[in-house]
Amino acid sequence: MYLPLGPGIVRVTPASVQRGATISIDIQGYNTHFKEDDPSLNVILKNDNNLLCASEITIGSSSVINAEYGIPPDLRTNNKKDYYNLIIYNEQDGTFFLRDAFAVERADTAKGISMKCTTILEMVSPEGKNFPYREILYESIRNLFFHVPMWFTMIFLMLIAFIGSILYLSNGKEEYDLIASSAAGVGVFFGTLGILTGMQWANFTWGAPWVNDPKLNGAALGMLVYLAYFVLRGSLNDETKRARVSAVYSVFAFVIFIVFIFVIPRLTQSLHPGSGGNPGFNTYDLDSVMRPVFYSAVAGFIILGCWMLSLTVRYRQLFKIQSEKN
Amino acid sequence: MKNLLLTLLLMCVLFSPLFATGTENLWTTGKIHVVLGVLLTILAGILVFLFVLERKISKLEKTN
Repeated sequence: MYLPLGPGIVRVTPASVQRGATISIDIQGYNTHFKEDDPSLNVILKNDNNLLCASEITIGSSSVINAEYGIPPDLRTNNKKDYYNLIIYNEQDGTFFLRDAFAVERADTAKGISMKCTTILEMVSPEGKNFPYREILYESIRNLFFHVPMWFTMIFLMLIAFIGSILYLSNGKEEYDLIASSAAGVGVFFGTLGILTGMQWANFTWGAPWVNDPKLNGAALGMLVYLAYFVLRGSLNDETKRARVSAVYSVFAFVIFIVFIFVIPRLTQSLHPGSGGNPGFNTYDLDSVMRPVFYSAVAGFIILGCWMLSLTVRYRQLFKIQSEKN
Repeated sequence: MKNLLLTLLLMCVLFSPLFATGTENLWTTGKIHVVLGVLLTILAGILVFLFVLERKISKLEKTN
């Protein structure tokens, strides 16, 4: 929980310059450790064709530096505007960069000094353990441990409801109907939390609480399917009939739910990671430092969900015994 | 009541690093409040669940 984010670059000002000019740019870092007289510090602009080294670097604070570049007039490119990645290295923070941080525009008449250099940088990880720094996400990357387990728990509980319904249909024991309907209830509870937390997160990262994303709409439809399950249960008065009809519905609801949240979003483009292909948790999606935290969070919330389910089932069993007595 | 106080105390300890000095970046650029909001939402949800269950159980006890 207290692990800091890795170092990153927040912004660069100004963001563009004409070729041949000498420019001084301010760089705002995040969780960086810039130090005066650090011989390992290297601040370069690089794209596929060119590599530019700073002629002078001034340290403002541990997270602010100013770098001066003389942009040569004879850059190897024919484009009107070229984007450069800003790459920073120092011993403590390792290598980090901002993609397309800086643009150089063509101005054919300009003349300037040539400051090309041939430093070759390797990607070096920062010292100590960090969560990955991602633009837009920043610290909210930690929401992965809270928002995503909600859905895992919901799917797990719906699976219990599905199995319970099948067992009820095969042997007709009332407890299975009780377990299935309680599991669906607690599952909807976790789904609601998943949607609420997702909306808060989306409002910050995607700019609106609800965007037309296939995964969001799929999850909303899946929730509606289960809400309809409770409407169906409420509309039938005869107990055996209610249990039988809702068990059949629940079996189909689970299949539809899985299609809505797993299959359809995977067929189209989505803002969620891992869409439009195989979303398995690979190294790109889930950092090795985050992975153990994430899996324990999922396990914890699933255990919490099962406990809530057992409490609900026990309450309803007691309620039944009580009402039979009276 | 005792448990509630204990939970609040634990939360203060848990969240204290968020309010330490030198964490301006955490709030302005880092937007840690999104994480805090999500956490509080989940906590509120669990509390609502518990309170509803508690009321149902008390009702059951009364009819006994």
